[in-house]
Amino acid sequence: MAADLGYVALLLAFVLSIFAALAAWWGEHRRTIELVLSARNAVLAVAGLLTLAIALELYLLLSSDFRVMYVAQVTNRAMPAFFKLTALWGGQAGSLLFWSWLMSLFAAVAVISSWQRTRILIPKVIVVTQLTLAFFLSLISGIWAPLASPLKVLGITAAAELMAEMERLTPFYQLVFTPVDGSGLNPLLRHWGMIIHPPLLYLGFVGFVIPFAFAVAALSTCQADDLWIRVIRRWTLVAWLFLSMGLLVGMWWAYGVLGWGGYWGWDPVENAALMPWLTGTAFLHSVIIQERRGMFKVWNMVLVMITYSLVIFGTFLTRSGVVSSVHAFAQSGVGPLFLGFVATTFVASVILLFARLDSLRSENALDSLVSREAIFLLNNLLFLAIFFVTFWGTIFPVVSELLAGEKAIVGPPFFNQVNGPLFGLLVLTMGIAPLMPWRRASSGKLARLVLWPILAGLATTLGLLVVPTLRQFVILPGTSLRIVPVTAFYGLLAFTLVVIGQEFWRGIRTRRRVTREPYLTALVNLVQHNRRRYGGYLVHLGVVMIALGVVGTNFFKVETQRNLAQDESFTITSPLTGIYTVTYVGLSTFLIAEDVQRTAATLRITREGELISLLQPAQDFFILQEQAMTIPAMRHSLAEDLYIILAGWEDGGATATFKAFVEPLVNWLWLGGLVFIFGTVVAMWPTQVEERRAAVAASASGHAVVTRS
Amino acid sequence: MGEEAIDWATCSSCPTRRNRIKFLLGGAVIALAVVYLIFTATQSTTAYFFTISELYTRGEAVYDRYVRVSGRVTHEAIQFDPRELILRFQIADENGQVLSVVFHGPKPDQLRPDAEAIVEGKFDGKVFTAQTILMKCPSKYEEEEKGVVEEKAEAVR
Repeated sequence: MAADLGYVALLLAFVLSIFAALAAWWGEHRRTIELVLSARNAVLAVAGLLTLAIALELYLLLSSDFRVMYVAQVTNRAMPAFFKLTALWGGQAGSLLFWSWLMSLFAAVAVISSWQRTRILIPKVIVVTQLTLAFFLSLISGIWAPLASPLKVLGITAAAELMAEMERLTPFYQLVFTPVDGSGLNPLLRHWGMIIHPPLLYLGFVGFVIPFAFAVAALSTCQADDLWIRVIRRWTLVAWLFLSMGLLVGMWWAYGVLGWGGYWGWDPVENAALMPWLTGTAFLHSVIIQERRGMFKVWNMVLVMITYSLVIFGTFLTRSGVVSSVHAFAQSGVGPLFLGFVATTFVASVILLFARLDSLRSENALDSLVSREAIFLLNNLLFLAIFFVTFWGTIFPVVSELLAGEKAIVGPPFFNQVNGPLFGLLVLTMGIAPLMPWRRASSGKLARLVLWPILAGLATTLGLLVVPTLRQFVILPGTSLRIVPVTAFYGLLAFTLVVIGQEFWRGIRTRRRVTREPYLTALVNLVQHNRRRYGGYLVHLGVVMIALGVVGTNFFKVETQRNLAQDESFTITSPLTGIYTVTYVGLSTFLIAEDVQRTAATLRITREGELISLLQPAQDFFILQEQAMTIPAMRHSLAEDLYIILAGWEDGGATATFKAFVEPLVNWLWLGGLVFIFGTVVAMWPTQVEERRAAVAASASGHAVVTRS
Repeated sequence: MGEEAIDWATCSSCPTRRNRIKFLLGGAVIALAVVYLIFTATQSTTAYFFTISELYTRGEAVYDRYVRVSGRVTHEAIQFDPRELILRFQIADENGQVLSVVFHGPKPDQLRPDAEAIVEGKFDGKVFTAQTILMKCPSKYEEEEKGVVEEKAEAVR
């Protein structure tokens, strides 16, 4: 009953989303406000219907109605209620429904909140968001299944079979019988990181549809001035924040739960989420140039369009089985449909862009290579380069098979080799950009500003290279070749760090000169009255910290693997803190849940004879699923993590095999992530009240200096 | 006077044009550098997928290359020395071609006869020295997430 109702809601939502798109289009064409109003109401109705569908799906999941195929696929009776709820996005059909629901909410909020200010853009925004939504809904409402028979008649049996399968992709699809129990959720996913990771990514993905919708609306209505840029700024930041958080949480989960000692493997699915982030980040930067100087208009349009296409392409990569990935969904008919959709929307937006090229004429020209505009351009090129490298590496298997007829892949070394130096350059532009004045830099002023940062950078690099006690940290036996790039990179980080510090200091000093506030108050007020700028700097600070961790783990990671009898030990040498001795004490097996048996090894960790920690790496065996899961044990510190995995054991634990990693500076990555998120929140926090207050204060005290950016 | 005015106009537009060339050149240099990086890195890091039969037909041409080969674990004894972490087993393709694999590292749990294994490493004509072993097993789940159907083991040395 609930399943039938849910399916009806889904179908109605699909029909209404198409109606909304058509009505909005026609209403604008005919200048009929009633039609646009009707479209607007349809948008709200779609959001309501999908909310109902989600509620019904959750009810089915909670009540373990295994007759509904999706419920049987992703839950079982033994699962706690909380996991039953989160299983909503644990499978293909459910996650598509979840995606659609978020999309409908975003669209409704965007339409309502922009109704007053930008009514002229709304019809096209409705068209774009509702067509995108209709496409997603078509995948999970069995619309494509009837195509199977004509395709079969035409003799395209493979396509016919894929389409026929689409019928079962509905999250409300009912089996003819009721299974006794479901398969249950994959044990690896029973972790809070994996529970919030997909929704965060989806929010990021869906969020980027809104800027695209406004961009298309602005272009097609010839309103491509700064109006749309202002409207989408916060949307873009919100989408970007969620995408960033999704990526960070995913990395954190991979590191803490998967037990392979890494956090990023350049897997196609990881790349699928990274690529829109890269182009989105490029857009966040170049849009500043359009706001300030009326330049890069075409470029910004292109970036929004690419980002949108990448969002859809990323969803396609994850779900099509085209590129074999360690965490891809099973192959299904969704693939070709996605590819068709992404190709259509991309071509359509390129055509629209060319048709409206005239309205995007730049108001200014680039004056000098040494200017903030030029640095921003460089930063954009670098982001796009990294995106292109990632894209190439991701689709390389497909290209290779199509063109050379050979199955081949490029692995993580490819990405690291090419993207590594590009990321380094990016950090450099990030450091320099705040120092660069607009239009053109006068060399004297620039020299004064870069003096300290450059000294700090040089001192760091030279210090690491020359001073023996520091030098030991960057030299590992047999890896001296890397010393130059590594020390250069640390120099870069120091440079950027000092630039950021200097920016804050200059701001505080200027404020204090006028207001005579204490330092801390000056800092708080400085950030509060100029959130966008100083929030941006905080994000940069987070990036520097993240880079510190990435460089540390990439260049100085130590790993070893040993089989130990009881009371035997091995040592592992950290480049930063010295030698750890790891002694195997014993193995024990016990139940930690009704269906989970844990086998844990106890290890004594000593340093120079002194016990510093007891670690318990373990393997959990999920009895019902007959599946083992590695539980790494870690000793955290700011300098590094000691990360140990129980890889196997023999004779009930008489001997056991361990894998140990020293992960230098890895916690700076997670801390940097927090700073990064905090900075983004600061930058996007609503400022209307603040601005008004600042304006009053500024006119009262006559200081416009602090708000200059 | 009129001619002077025209001169003025062209002169003031000159710097922008020269600028544009500068920027185009700069962009081109970056683009070329990136393409060069991609090209060389692709060449040096590509790992080819072969079936066991293909591996044998290619012969010496692939001896030094990093390749990826998949096959089913045979019923021949799987030898594992846990103390030294040396694992020896054989995989076979559908044509019955057999490949001997040696791996220095822990034995994946899923490594048993008839399981599908993907090995990455180098072949010297006799034995395939694997750097990584990836075990593929039928999953009960519709959605296959990292590490579930696949178990990966990496060599110590």
